[in-house]
Amino acid sequence: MFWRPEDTLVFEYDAGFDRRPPLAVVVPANAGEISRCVQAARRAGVAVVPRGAGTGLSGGTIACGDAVVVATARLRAIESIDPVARVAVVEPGVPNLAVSTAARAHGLFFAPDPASQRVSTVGGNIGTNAGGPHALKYGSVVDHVLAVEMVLADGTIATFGGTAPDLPGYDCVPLIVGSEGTLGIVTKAWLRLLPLPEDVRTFLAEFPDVRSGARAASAIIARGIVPAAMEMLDRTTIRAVNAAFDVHLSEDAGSMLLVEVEGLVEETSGASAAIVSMCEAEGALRVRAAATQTERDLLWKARKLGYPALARIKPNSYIHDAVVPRSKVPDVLDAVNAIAERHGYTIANMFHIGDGNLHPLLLFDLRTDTIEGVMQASAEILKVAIEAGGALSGEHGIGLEKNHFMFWVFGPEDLEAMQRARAAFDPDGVMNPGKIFPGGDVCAAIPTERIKRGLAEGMWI
Amino acid sequence: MDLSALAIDGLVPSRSETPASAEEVVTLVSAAHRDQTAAVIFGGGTRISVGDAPSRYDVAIDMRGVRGVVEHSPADLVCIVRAGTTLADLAAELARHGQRWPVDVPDPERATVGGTIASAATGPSRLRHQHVRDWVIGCEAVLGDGTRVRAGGRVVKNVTGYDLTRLYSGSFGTLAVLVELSLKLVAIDERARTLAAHGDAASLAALGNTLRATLPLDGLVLATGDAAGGGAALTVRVAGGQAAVERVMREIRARGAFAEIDDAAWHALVSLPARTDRVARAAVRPGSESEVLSGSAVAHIGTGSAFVFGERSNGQISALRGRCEATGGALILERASTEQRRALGTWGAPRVPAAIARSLKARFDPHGVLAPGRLPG
Repeated sequence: MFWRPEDTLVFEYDAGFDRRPPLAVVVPANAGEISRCVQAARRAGVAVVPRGAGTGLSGGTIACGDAVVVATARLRAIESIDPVARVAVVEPGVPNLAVSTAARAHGLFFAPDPASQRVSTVGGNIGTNAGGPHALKYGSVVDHVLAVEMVLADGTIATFGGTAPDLPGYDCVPLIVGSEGTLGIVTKAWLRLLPLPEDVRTFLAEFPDVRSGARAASAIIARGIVPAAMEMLDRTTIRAVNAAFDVHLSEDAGSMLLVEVEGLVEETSGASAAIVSMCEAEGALRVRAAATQTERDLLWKARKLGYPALARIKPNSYIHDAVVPRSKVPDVLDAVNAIAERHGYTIANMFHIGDGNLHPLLLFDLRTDTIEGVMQASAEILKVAIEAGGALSGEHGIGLEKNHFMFWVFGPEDLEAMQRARAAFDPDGVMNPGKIFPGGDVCAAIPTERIKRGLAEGMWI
Repeated sequence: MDLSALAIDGLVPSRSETPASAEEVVTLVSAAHRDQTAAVIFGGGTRISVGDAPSRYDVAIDMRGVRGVVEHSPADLVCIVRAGTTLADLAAELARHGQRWPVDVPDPERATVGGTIASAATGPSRLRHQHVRDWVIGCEAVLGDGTRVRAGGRVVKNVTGYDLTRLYSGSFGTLAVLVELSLKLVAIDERARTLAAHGDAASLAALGNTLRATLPLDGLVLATGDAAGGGAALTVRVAGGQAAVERVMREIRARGAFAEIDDAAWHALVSLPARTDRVARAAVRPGSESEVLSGSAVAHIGTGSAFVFGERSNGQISALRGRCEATGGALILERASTEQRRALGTWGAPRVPAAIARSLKARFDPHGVLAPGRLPG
């Protein structure tokens, strides 16, 4: 347990913008100890905030009010892999990538692959219902969790779901996935594994501008072709990635699609040919395939480490996670880029274009720019996405970052229905309070919270 | 209207209602909440038998009037559909744009989208496409107190608040009445073919598990006894692009004496669990489905579901339930005599902590008017 300010400092923040010191940080070794932590916190009248690797982008692991952080870092066992049932049983502190690494010996893999997968944990992935590039074909984490063991708000350890499907009673597993630690603390997960594909083809299509690349992506989906992954990188990103890695992307391209298809050889060759011809029809300058595994790995390394590469441009950045209907991507991107330009920020777009999950990244320098200005531009970006029929978040979660914007999407009855589910698990609201739901003052001491709340309430109408 | 056709385990409602809109559903459920009368929600009735007898049953609400595709956005691979639409009507509408909802369940001409989701209906296609809940991205629903709510949205990736749509999935109309669903779609496969081989059950089971381990398949069904027309039969469904389908068929044929059967035979096999009077579903570890087969039965290999058909004694059912539960599974009496259901219960050992199940029910349906008693909790 840590309580000295110098020890709790690194638990004040995640990969987003909000920060606040917790009262204390506990790092238990197993579910039984987590249960006792929750009971002790309850006796002490403080809230509990679960935390994995701290790579979250929406402030979900930040302690609001009087709260103790429960870190799952020591629960790192991969308990078993059943190659016949295709299930891995793992503890929540296991890094995402370690699951696929362990499953590989059985010809299997764990499909969700957030860019943070080398460090982000299964527990955190479950909390935010993480996605990643390959969610396009395989779906998000919720599609890959068969069961969870969880410590409930009263300290009870309960299991929901199972390896066998459709067990009697309410299916709470998909409610728990994506609940950002507000229903309990996951202490074990049964994960679905999938067979490794026979063939993988990765290629890059370069376009003169963002719009033509976005049109090609929309056309591919509209044709009913769903690649394993389809990512867009804009010019700012391409240049940053070139500067950071030895990838030699063409700097004359205005945008690039990184496309991967997986399956039987017959399927990948057919899909590749169709995708290439559609890219060319939309004006692609060049389409080139990764010839070797090394080249493929390099392209994905460039994609997954793209954000660190972009950090060379400006010291600070703000990443968004809105999702829009896929056919709206070209128009929404135009609008988003116009917002950034109007506010004078450099913008980079590197995102999951295949499922409409935008990640516009505002680049700025807090020595000269104000956080208020960044948040104003961010709220405008969210508004454009919502008005296009979209969602606030595709894979990062709502947390503290976007909770005040929830009523842009849902009416009071809709949010109250979610609160009913919450209350069934945690009637006293001791599990990760102040997250997901708008209103409430538990996090009001955080300055960025006040700014966002003002924007959410001021810009709607 | 012959209300006895709406009887559940001998209980006959005093009236039936056929709302034509979400507003009418709100009115009906609000009245039930106010008057504390109990309603059972009907779709096509293919799975209305799944569940314990309601503890009270005043009105049957037939959702088939709340039907039709509200919006199909082919370029987004998404559609919005009213809950009472049958799967066949949905398929016909989507096929105009070469798309489909990849959920294959018994009797698509009768089964509705809402009922399929509310009852977590299953079919062999889960081998490739997984659970029905994974193909629903949002909904509009009426809670037990008449509150009309939305959850999720119309985008394919979404973590904007709790995923209540998937909580309602498999809740058998006890938490909310689904009125409208947003669905995720796929393109119709270029080819879909079916192969079948006959032989002894044990070697076909081994063959089925080998095929599952080595080839991407759409469905894999091992039938025994009357369900196989005697003996045992392994049926394999393959779908995809023409070249891929031809190759997979070649590889299947190289492993056994398979002959092609037509789509109608495949659909009849998929529909067996809705066309048989006595059905118990075994939920087991994927890969072990064929271990629970006896007499007339089908195993949907790789999905974790097997169906045992025909009259079985209470002792036989209890023994099978014991075996399933001992390995973390369950045995659900989907269609049984009223006597057997009363004696053994539909569900077996409850899995969701009782306090959570009761609390969910009490909060989403405060007066207990939606199919009370049908689901544990």
